[in-house]
Amino acid sequence: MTHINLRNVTFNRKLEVDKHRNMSGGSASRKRHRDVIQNVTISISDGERVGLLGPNGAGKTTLLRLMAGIFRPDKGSVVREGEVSTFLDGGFGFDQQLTGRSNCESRAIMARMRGVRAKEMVKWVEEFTELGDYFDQPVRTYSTGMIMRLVFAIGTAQTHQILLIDEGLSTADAHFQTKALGRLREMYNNAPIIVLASHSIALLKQHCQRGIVIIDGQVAFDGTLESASEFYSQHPRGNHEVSRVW
Amino acid sequence: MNTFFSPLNQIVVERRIWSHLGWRDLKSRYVRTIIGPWWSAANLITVVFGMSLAVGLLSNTRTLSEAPRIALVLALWTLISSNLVEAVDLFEGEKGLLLNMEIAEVSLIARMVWRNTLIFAHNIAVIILVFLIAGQDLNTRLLILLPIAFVISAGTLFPAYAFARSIFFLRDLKTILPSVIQLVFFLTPILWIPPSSGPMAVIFAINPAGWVIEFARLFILENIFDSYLLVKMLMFTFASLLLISLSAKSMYSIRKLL
Repeated sequence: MTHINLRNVTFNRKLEVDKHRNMSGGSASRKRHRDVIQNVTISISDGERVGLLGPNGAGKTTLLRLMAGIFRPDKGSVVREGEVSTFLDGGFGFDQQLTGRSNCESRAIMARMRGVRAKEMVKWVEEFTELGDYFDQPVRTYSTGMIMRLVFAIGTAQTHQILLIDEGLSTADAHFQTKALGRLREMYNNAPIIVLASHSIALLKQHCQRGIVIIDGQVAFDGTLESASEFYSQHPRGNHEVSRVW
Repeated sequence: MNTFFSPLNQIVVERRIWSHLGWRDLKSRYVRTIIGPWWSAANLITVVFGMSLAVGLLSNTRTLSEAPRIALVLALWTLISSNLVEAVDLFEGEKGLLLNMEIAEVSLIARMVWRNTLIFAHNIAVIILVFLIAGQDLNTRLLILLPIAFVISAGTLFPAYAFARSIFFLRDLKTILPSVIQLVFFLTPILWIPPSSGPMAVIFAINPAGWVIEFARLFILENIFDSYLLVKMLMFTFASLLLISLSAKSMYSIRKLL
């Protein structure tokens, strides 16, 4: 059964906290550890659609990275059952000098795909983006809209049981939007687990039933999305006491 | 994951990813150029002939008599120095990959080393060409360059990681390192042959880059198999692999610094 369990997870990062002048008059900085996620326990089971709310820098993206296995917790444990698709920064690993096809093939290899599966992904992206001859042109020649199409298609070409999405997925021009929205709907409907981090309550309400408010790296609220958004609007930064109504 | 040997294991497991990315780097670097990766070979050949001319004129010997030695040692030096100099930007330059996918940090080092090994493979053609032009016998001893490239790649894994890691604490390294490597160039038997005594002999005794270059020169050009140098080289390579294995935990913490 697909699930994600975070138990007492703490994760620290080295942040530049102390800027000072160095001998030549320039500025240097010291790095200090700071717990960006503190003692978080979350359990997400099959069929749940979870919205993560919280101010900038609260730890939403870090939490998604912990769930995806990109970050490993310093304390506590993350147990995950099911393959994960992450949509954090769609354009990662792109090489502007190479063609859309080459970039797509690269992403397939990075996603550990082989043979027919990889070829099918490239074919699917080529058809979905409708880039035509541009698919075999260097990405640096693309317009912003064309890059967005390619990023979207590569990002959504391969979807797994667990979708971890940061700030939704942006789409390009109006014509492509309908197609992309259809693809998103298909993805959202088929994935057993979705965790969507966003500032947009409207977007979260559209796709999620459960809401978790993260403030200063802690779970400040965990309940229905309706009550979570209400909690968040009343306590955009404060009240760190954990409140659970789920 | 944080177990002993896990970085070496990850190199094996993720070989398809880092080897592909290494090829892709090369493709991207030379895309739309007429001779592609052979440009690195063309650059090397220019330096070899320029240096041979200078050395020949200064030492009153036949102009191209030193060319085979210079081609051989410069090709090896280029592989060693590129692995070290390019390391400084390794993790910061690949922030996108490290923060968006589960890829082992050591795979990024392997990617860089592989990319430079591919360039070295092109440079072997320069060595062969220079041997032919200078009238040096081509023999099967040249094949030793393949295991030597492997030894250099494995031996530079840890030093490259150490430089890539240190940049987070000492940003000045990015500026200093090319100059330091340039200094090491003069302290490595490239423009000179190791004497048996004196200060240069001491420098040679503590310079791992010198051991591998001198071992290759003696074997290929002089038909001398120096087992003492070989043991030193292999011990250094083993130490590099051991240290990279012990760095699993420290390697993982790189993501926290990005």
